[in-house]
Amino acid sequence: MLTIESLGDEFAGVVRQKRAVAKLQQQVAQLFEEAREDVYRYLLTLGLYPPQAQEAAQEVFLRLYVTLRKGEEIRNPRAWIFRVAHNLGLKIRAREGAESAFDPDLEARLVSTMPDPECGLLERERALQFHRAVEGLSDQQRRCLHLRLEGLRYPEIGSALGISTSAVGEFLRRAIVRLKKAHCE
Amino acid sequence: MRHMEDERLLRYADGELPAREARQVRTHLEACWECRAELEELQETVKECVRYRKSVLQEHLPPPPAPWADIYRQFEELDAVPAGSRWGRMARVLAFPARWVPAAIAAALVCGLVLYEWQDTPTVEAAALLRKAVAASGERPAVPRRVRLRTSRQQASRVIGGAPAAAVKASADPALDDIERMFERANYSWDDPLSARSFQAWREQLPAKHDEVATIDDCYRIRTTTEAGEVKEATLKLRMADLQPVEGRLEFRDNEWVEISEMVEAPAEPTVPDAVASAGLPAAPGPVQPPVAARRAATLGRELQVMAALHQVGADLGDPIEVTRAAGQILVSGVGIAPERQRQIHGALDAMPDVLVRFVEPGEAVPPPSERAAAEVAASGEVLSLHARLAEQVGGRPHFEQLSAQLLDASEAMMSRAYALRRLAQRFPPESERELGARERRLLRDLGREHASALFTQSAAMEKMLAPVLVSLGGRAVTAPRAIQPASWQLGAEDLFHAARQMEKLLAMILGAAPGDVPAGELPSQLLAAMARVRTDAEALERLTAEDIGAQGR
Repeated sequence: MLTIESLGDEFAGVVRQKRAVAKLQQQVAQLFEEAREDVYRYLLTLGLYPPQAQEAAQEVFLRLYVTLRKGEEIRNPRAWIFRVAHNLGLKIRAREGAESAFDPDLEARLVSTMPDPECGLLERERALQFHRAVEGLSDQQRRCLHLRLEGLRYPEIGSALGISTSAVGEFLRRAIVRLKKAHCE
Repeated sequence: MRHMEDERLLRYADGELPAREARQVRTHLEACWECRAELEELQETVKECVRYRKSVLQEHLPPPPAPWADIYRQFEELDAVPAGSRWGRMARVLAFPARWVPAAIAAALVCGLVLYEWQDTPTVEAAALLRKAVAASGERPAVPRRVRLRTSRQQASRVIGGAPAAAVKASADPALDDIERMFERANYSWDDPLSARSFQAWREQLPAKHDEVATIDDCYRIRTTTEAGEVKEATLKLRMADLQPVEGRLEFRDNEWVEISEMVEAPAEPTVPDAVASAGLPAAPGPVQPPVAARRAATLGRELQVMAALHQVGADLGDPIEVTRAAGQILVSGVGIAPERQRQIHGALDAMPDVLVRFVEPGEAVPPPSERAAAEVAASGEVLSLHARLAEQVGGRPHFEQLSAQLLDASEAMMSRAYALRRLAQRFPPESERELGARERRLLRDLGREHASALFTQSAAMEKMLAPVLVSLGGRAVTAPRAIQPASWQLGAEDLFHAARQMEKLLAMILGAAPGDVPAGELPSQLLAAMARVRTDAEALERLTAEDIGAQGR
């Protein structure tokens, strides 16, 4: 039977739910604010064009929102975001075909930058050399490195790339050893 | 002094090593300047990577071409539609994107989205089968084995398992490099290409997939097809008897394929430079996988004799030694075994016919167990306060450190037993055991009973040391007897193994050697209960093995 009490309970329930949704929105929005550029850049490194990367980055956060709204628990949202971004990025890339990967041509951008007169020239040379070494890594090594740079732990990287944690360790080791050579030369 | 490998140092610096191993590395670093310098170099490279991210990637990659959308508005749009059709709505939102997105990209994205959402319904059977196969292989130490890899253009073989880093480094065959690139392209583990775990990892990262499980001869065949990524179809065959993967195949979208199968012969000599072999094994690739019957030709009985002989010299407790049957022979392989130990094992096994003993140096420094630092104190304030009270109970910090070290040693010894017992139960499940003769069955149960009895004694000793302290910290042991008594000693062994592992975990938490999710207030009671559980499970297993022996004796 409908009573004043039951109506009151229902109203309180609605208010609670609204508050919970608002809190969730705020959390995802804050994460969006903090991490969207990182996700965007990661997608560029996967070969997505800037508009694609930006669109996909936004979509990842909407997907996070929808997943959380369904009541699913996500322990580390940042790792989740990169995993989903990685999968979505590869899917978009697969549909585009190998020919059309975006190449930011960082080397040309680095060269064309005016070096800082103080310490710039040497610094730029060093950056160039390091960049070439990064470019020389295998895809998986580079992906592990980028995801580690974004703060993901080995199991999270493994989950994003679909490889074992020990494989992540091995890829990172190989990457770091090669970069160490470039850095020390 | 043996030095640390880069990977180990990197994993240490990244906080990815288990607490105990991290302590060992730390102790080694304190003593070894060379490794410390090596670690500093790694850290320098890590710093350089961070600088690269900041000054190259962040500065020079093109910025987003448009202002970021108002995400709150998009939330509202998504919430405005019923939950079930949110993804569809999202697809529509994305179908009319900002002005700079070419229509083709948006369409591709929409297709991707719809597929991602609606086809993500994995076949429960395939997932469950893979989970079981992973569990079956999970606790066994890796043993090196040779697999053959074949593509439409080339073929090669390589040794996997055992010492992954060394095995990977050893690849000198250019064909292997090409095949490795195919695996990278496929997002499929190259380190462990023929395993349920790798197949599972690959399968789980697929946004959309379709599974098929079939029974072919004495194998399960899982076939997963997908629209995502470069691989359109992957197949894994698992032997029914033990869910061991025997064959795998990846088919690429460009019609290239790669097939992986285990070679029939015992693993050929790995090309690791410092590998030590006691028996000449063929280095050339052998024939393709033969029928299962041939692989199991070496009798279970002889395998059991080998395990008993290893047990005699204590080599089944903690040493990374694996016993496998391969092509009529028993292969005993070990990784990183000390020379003196190698001699002992040879002494115990060399007289046995058809037994091959092989040792491989992993090239990785493993400090002896005695090189253990005192338990490190873990995170939360609650746990810290528990430590302070624990220390007080045992008469001060130095006593606490001493007790910690003793308990961690005891726990390690107990787990060696638990693993040995479990390995025995897994290698000789009830159906294999039935194939054994009466004497061998007796030997098997004697081995099982001895482990159970040792576990009982070890856990009782630890309980004696800890129980008074835990009770004074407010702990209360409440252990309900197991609702279902295990149907076989093998199942009893599995129960006991899990009980021991739980005890080890809780002990590490309470001593601050590992982080955990149990509230500090509940730790004393839970640990008391876990210790009691190990004791009762060990007793039950002793009874089970004794009863069985009685039954066999008739």
